Amino acid sequence: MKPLARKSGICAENLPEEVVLYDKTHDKVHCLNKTAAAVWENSDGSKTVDELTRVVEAKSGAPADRKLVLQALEELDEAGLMEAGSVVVAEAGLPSRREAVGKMVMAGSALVATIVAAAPKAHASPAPDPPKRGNPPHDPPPIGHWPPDHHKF
Amino acid sequence: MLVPSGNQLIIGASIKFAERNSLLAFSAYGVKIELRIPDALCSQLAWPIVPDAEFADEGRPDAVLTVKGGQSGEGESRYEIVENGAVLSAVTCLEAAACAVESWVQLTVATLAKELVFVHAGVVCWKDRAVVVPGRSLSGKSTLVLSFVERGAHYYSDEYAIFDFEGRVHPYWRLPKLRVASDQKVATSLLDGTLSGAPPKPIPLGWVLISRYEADSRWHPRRLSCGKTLLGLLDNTIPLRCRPEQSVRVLAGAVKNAQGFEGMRGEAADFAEQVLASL
Repeated sequence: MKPLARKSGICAENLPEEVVLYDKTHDKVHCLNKTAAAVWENSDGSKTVDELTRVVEAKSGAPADRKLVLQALEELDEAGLMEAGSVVVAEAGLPSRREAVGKMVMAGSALVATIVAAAPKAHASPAPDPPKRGNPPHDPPPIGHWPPDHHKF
Repeated sequence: MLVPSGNQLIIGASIKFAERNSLLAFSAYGVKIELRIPDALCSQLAWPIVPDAEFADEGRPDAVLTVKGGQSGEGESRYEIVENGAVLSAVTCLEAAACAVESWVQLTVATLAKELVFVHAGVVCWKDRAVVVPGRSLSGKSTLVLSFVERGAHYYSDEYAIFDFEGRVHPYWRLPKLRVASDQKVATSLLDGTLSGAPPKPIPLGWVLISRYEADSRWHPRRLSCGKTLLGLLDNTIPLRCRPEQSVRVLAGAVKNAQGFEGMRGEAADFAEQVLASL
């Protein structure tokens, strides 16, 4: 497997410890931690996973092993940030998706966080009810809703 | 400047539109808006409809909204809110039509302003830096902002955090809008005098608080990374789909020197108390 990152239609913004990507094709925003960012940036279709692991460790400055790189590749693939078919997730040693997600949720350690970019109209104020004579001011609706349903933190 | 454009008589399938119309042209935050609305509706609109609005009768508008007022076959008043020939909504009283127009203007300006990035959020100033609480409509932003102000923070906005290209936060200088009449009275008495003065200067972003209401919760937030703080802002950024590069770049610059926190919050008063004590 020689992974190839999808870079067309994506704009990247570097932060001190992360990279944030806007995917114009799917209108999604992804936040990649250091490891995932290094994997995405160096997946040029010419490196095997072992070669990628060495490059990632050198470039990110963070300890990386084959398992972590495979995990990052799978998350990047799920996020639509790898070219189709360039990541084969059934590599030996990779935990099943359910196992991995379970562990990540427990540890709060997802490598890629994603939100869907809302259309401007999603931010519109809801239309008010027509006023009815004699009614007292109504109570406000329940407040607070985080994370929104489309979140995948 | 209200310019009557004459009577309009449109016969729809079951609605007659025969009210005298006015044309109202203004610009706000660099966006030129044109409203073609019944005279009766003009008198219902509070001016300025959005902060920073100034009458402008020159140049091509960036967006046009038409409100067609008339009566249904049953003799009931009916107002259709129309943009580019498409009916966005229809309401049966002037007050609701005024709310719909105001909401459209607000969102249109926030979407089309090219030199600024509008984030749906409440904002106060604390220790010369902005405390930004992102949230959609009905998430309780106005109530939270009011609670902060009651505890000594300076009011900036209950609707939008407006970021310039240097990442500074500008005020959205209007009276907070609360849905409970008694809260609205508090807001008015607390801020009416302040808002009659000039808006405060833009300030650097200090803190971003991503919070979710849960009864009886205390604010025990977890610190967010720079990237997750940015995601929290982008999730509430109005022009994100229209101008993604600009939105991401501007907000990334703003969060680099700020701190982000995420957690559950209880009642607004407790939350404000706990937050300000911790900043």
